[in-house]
This record gives sequence, C-alpha cells and structure tokens, in this order.
Amino acid sequence: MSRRTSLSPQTTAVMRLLSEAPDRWWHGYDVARRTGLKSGTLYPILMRLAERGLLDAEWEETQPSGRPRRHRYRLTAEGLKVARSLPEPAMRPHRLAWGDA
Amino acid sequence: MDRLLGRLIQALLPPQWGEALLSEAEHVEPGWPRKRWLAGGVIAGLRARLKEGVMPVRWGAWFGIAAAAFLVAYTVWRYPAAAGGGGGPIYLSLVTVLLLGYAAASWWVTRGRAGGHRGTQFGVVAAVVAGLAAMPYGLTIARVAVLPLAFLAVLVLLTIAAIKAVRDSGSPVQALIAGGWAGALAALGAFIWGMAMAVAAPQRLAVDPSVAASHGGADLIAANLGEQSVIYILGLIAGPMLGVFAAVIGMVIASAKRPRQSTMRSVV
Repeated sequence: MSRRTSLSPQTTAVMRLLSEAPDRWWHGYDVARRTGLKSGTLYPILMRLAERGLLDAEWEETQPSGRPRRHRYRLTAEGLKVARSLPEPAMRPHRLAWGDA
Repeated sequence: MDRLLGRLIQALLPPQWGEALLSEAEHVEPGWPRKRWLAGGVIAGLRARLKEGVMPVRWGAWFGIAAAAFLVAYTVWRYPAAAGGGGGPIYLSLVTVLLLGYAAASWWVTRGRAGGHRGTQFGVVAAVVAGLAAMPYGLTIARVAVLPLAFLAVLVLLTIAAIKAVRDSGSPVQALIAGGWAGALAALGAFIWGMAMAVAAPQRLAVDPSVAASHGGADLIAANLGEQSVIYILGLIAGPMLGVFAAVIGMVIASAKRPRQSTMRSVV
C-alpha cells in the first residue's frame, strides 16, 4: 500500500501564505493573523513542518527595543516545492484573526 | 495568569518552541489577545505531549494492568472460594501470564509505533464502551440491547484504528498493531470495570445455575464471582484477537477506498 496523506486545510493555509513571499521571514503572530489560526493550532503545524525539513526557523538577529527577539519562519526549497504543488483551495479560511474586526 | 501560562508552555513545549511562543507573546496586544495567545500555547504543548505521549500511555497501561492484578488479588483474598474450585489455579495462572503479557506488549507497542499511537487513541474509547457494557449490572439490566451494540461499537472503533494506522504508515503491520493494541485496551477496560463492579457487590450478580447447584450459603456468592471472573479473564485473550480481525477488515477497507485527490507523500 502506498503512503498517501493529504495536508490538513490549516497546514495548507500556512504553506500557501508562506509561499506567497518565499524570501520573506514571517513571525508566528503575523502568520496567525493572516491565516486566522490560533496559536494552539499554528505552532504544532510549524513544529511539524520544521521537523520534516519544509520550514526554516531561526531567531531574529537584532533585538527590537524593549522586547525579546522573535522566532521567524520561511519555507525551505523543499517546502516551497510542496506548497506550489498544492491544489487550488476549495474554500479560503474565513475566520478573522484577532484584532482584524 | 500570564506568568502561569508561560510556565506551563515552558514545561510542555520543547525549549526552542516554548521560547518562540513566549517571545512572540510579547508582540501580541496585552490583555485578552495575549492571554488567548498564551492559552493556545498551552494547548499546543499538550498536543505535542500527547503526540509524543509514549511515556504517559505506557504508564497508563501499566497502571491499568496493576489495577487488574489488584482486583484479582483482592478477589482471592476477600472471597477465597472464588478461586477455590478445580479451575481456580488454572485461571489464576492464566490471568497472571496474560497480565504479564499485556505489560510486555504495552512496553513494545508504545515505542513510537504509528500503530501504537492510533491503537491508543481508539482503544481508550473502546475501553470505555467495553467497560460500560461489561459491567455486570449493564448485562443484567439490558443484556439483549446493550451487548450487541457495544460489541459492534468496539469492532467499529478497532477497525477505524487499523484504517488510520495503515493510512498513517502505509504498513499493514502497523494496522495489526493498532487493532490488536486497541482490542487489548478494550479488554483491559472491560476487565477492570467489570471486575470492580462484581467485587464491589457480588451478591447482585446473576447466579450461574451450575454454581447454584453445587454450592450453598456464603460460598455461593464467592463461587459465582469466580465463574463470572472467567469471562473477563478470557476477554483478555478475545480482545486482541478481535482487534486483529478488525485490522484485517480495516486493511481491506483502506485498500479499497483510496484518497480521491492527493498523491502527496505524508508530510504533515
């Protein structure tokens, strides 16, 4: 039997967002706001993508004043390939992120 | 509140990810948005723990096995006549071997196997269903309606565990592990709950006619309890066997019903 599993809609939403600007480094909160995902859903996805080598994760080089450095994320070449092979979404995420209303 | 949530996140998530989530929280608007962010982090941590959850599952299974062993020991101590018949030593030996086998199997199955993960997920639910159905009063009150339905529900749960396992891993062996492990958990649930209820109030058990004919007085209850216990002991063999049967059904279903769209390898 072959090993076939489709991505969850949430993971698809994250990968699709990150692939929109492949060179850009994204922060977790930005991804959460743009996809409408809560941190409890988003971080397990980021962790799994990083574990599978589809996502680069690193700490910011410079520290913003008065705040700690943040983790930032970007798709790897392999991740980008996977993201670009995703089928067109049947339905876009419809939930507004916090503070968007 | 924020500090408490932060501590939980650090305790639950791998260090790098816990720090990432907490430093990100400093960039979320203070107040409820930040609290929600942190609460989500705790959920992420719990999910991560459950996913990797080898140790909790293993210890949980061993705790259940210890509880079953305690119930057997208590029955023998409190109602000596329950194990006093000719079959007593045989069944006591059998249940000892079976519980030791269950302990060894739970160590082996929970070593990061995909089948073990799915088997645990569905096996716990099956254990609750089987436990409720196996309780002596459930059988006595609604034998006809409850038992076949509960059996069917357990069979469906074991089959789903196998289907999920084979889809996760692509391996029929993992489907067998998932089905067998889920069946074992269901049997253990039935054993613990059924025996606990029987030991707590053995006088409420329906009396086996063969026991009534050969015993009298105080020995009657104990001997009847012994007869009833045999069902749960044999259930420890039947559970995994039913699981393997369900796994075969699950594999047939999984191979017949392929995913419609995606041909992507399992990445997440």
